Amino acid sequence: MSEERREDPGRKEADNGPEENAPGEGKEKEADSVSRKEKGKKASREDSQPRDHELYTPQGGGGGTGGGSIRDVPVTEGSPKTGPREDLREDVDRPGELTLPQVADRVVEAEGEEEGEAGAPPEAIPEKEEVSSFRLLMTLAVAGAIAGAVLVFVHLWSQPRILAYQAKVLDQAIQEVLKSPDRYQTLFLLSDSTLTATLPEGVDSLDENQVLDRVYLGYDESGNPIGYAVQGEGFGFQDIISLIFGYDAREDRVLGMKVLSHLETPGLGDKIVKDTSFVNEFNGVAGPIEPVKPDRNTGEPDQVDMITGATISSEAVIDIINRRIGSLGELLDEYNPSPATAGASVRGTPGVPEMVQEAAVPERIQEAAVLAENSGVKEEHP
Amino acid sequence: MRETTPKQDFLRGVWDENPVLIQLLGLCPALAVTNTLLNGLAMSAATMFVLVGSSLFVSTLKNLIPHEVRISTYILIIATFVTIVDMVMHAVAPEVYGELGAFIALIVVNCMILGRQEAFASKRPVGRALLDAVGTGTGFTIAMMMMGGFREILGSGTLGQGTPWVINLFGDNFEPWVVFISPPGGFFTLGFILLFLGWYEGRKEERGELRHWPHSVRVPTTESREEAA
Amino acid sequence: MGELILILVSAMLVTNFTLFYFLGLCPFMGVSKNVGTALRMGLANIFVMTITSLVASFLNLYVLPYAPYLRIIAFIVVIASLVQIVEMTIKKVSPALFRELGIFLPLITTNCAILGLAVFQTGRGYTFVDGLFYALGAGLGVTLALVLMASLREQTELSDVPAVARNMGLVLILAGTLSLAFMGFAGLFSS
Repeated sequence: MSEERREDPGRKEADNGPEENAPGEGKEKEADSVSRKEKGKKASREDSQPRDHELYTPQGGGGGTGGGSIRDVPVTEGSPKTGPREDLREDVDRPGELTLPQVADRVVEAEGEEEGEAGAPPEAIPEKEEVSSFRLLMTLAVAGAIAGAVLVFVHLWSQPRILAYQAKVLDQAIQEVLKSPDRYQTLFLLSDSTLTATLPEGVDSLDENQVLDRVYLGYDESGNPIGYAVQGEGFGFQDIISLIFGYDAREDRVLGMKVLSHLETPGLGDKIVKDTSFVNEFNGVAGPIEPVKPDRNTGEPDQVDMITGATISSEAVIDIINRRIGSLGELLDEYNPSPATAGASVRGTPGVPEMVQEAAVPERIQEAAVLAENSGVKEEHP
Repeated sequence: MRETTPKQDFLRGVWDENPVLIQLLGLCPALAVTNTLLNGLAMSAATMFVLVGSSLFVSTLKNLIPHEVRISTYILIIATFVTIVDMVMHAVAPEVYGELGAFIALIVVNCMILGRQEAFASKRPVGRALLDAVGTGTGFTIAMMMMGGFREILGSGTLGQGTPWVINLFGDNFEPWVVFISPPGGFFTLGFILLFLGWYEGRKEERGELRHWPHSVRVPTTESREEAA
Repeated sequence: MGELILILVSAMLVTNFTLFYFLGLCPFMGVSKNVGTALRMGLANIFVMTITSLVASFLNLYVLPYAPYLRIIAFIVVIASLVQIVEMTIKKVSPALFRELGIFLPLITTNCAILGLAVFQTGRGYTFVDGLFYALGAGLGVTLALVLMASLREQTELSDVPAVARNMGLVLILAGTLSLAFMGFAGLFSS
């Protein structure tokens, strides 16, 4: 299709001839004249047939709303815009006003412009005086500066609250999947596949290339490790499911599971969250988990009943967990935490210790602010 | 431009030129986040904030902004307000923020807002611009409430999900019409509302009160409304 | 590679940007009953989305970590300017191409779909390549939806549509049916 606007069966296409020759040639002048011609022809055709835009012209902003009368709806055809440089305006979609003839208008108007930053074109409307580029730049610069300043303030105000909330959510999730540990400790998975409670020198906890992941080791009151809370995500039925689960590496058992975010079908797939019996199935199930249909459950310790009508979502959840166990299981099993020292036993609190830069970390993994415990314990992977 | 009364400036956006139902602007949020009434209201509150705030600024500063860069500046102003509402909502109501997701950020490309600045706020005094903004925002809110309410009632059988005052309308045995909460439901709901409007306005036209509008949704002329009044 | 194909196809079918995320509805509703125009609009979309994806990845990686709150402003301003520049370049370099696609570029630059793509992509933490495939999939999905809708509307032009539906009501119901159909793609990739 090398010609525009010709395929519509309802339109009269009497003027394809002269336009046919132009496309092959790369000269701007000719493109110019072709557009002008096309625009002219469009104008004549406008009135004869209902155009697309007539069936949906939104009032948008440019319509008769200025006068408060709906009668002044512009049947848009080359309708005078309020300024020459409409490119940016058209960035906002108002289909009714931006049909092909008008766009062709702009093509024509834009021909004579110099390249340059968007927003500083030569003025074509005669009654306006020439405004200096400096003034234009200054306006934008000042506006930008003020905007930036305001945003900085709002950001400083809101950021601690946001982080605190994220920490709280993560804390709650860890509490749930580890079945209320007394406290927990953050372990960092480094790029060399070691698991450590304290970061070695020079490793930035926010750098995703160095700190691949975090798991949370929970302890009970007597200081014995309960298990690890591990996050995982993967594709579900509709989109990505993100979850966290508790895992006892020694006995290869899952302690509990909680879905953190998902986009599954409401009423069906979202039962992975709402169906408490399904969620409770994960308490104590042996890994790797085998999904079974409810009537085929033979009572093996590693079986979990899938949700009827949401088999794919259920399977996805199980698969995510199994894959995480597969990749981290050994590492977690071998990790040797020393019994907690009394001085460091603080229950995992939602604090705001790390100012995590949100852009650097996918929001889905709610890293933010879990207190690193046990600063006194230096535990390295053996 | 005809002179309009303040009342007209306000009421215009509420119904006659309702941004969603008549002008069909701002459909992206209208369809996407109206799966519950609360979400719809939250989104319309955020949009109202952005609309009013940016109208205020645009109208106040209209003489300072050179013509050529006005669109960029408007966009800058709008984007600033959107970022503010994004951060504030994230901090103050994180659960709702989680539901609305990225759509708060998309307020900035809501055609309706830039349209109001371009057509009205940049040409009128602050007071009128404010009225216009509030009116349009109210219209938007009404549309969102209609859609959100409809979808939630049929799609979950409740009203007020997400708030502490959830009403379970049909009892426990009600099998919700899940289609209405899912994406097609958004389209269908708005479609049904428009069909109803078409029927209603069609009846008015039969009575000779209306004028055909290119949009094909009939809208009352000022005269016929005065008659009716 | 399989991972990338998954990203692409799921963005195109399973979470179609127009029919699932409701992005880019303005052109969708408006772009006509003309399949040709719809196709061209869609291609322009793909083009802008790919550029946007690269830009968004770049910004996310190098600029935004210093000022995450500038995300929205940065995206919109940079995308708008960039597409402007690209449009002018195409016009100079290849008027033929410009005539095909170029005039749609401003129409779609800051529409919901493009900004939505940028926001979703960075929210998921995609890398440059991931993001590119995501954008391709999204663009293809939008094109698909546009073309389908345009052909449906071409058909309805010849049908006897009841008066009450002669406004956008019909279009929306059609869109809803399309969306319903696309829901069938869910579960395309299961573990």
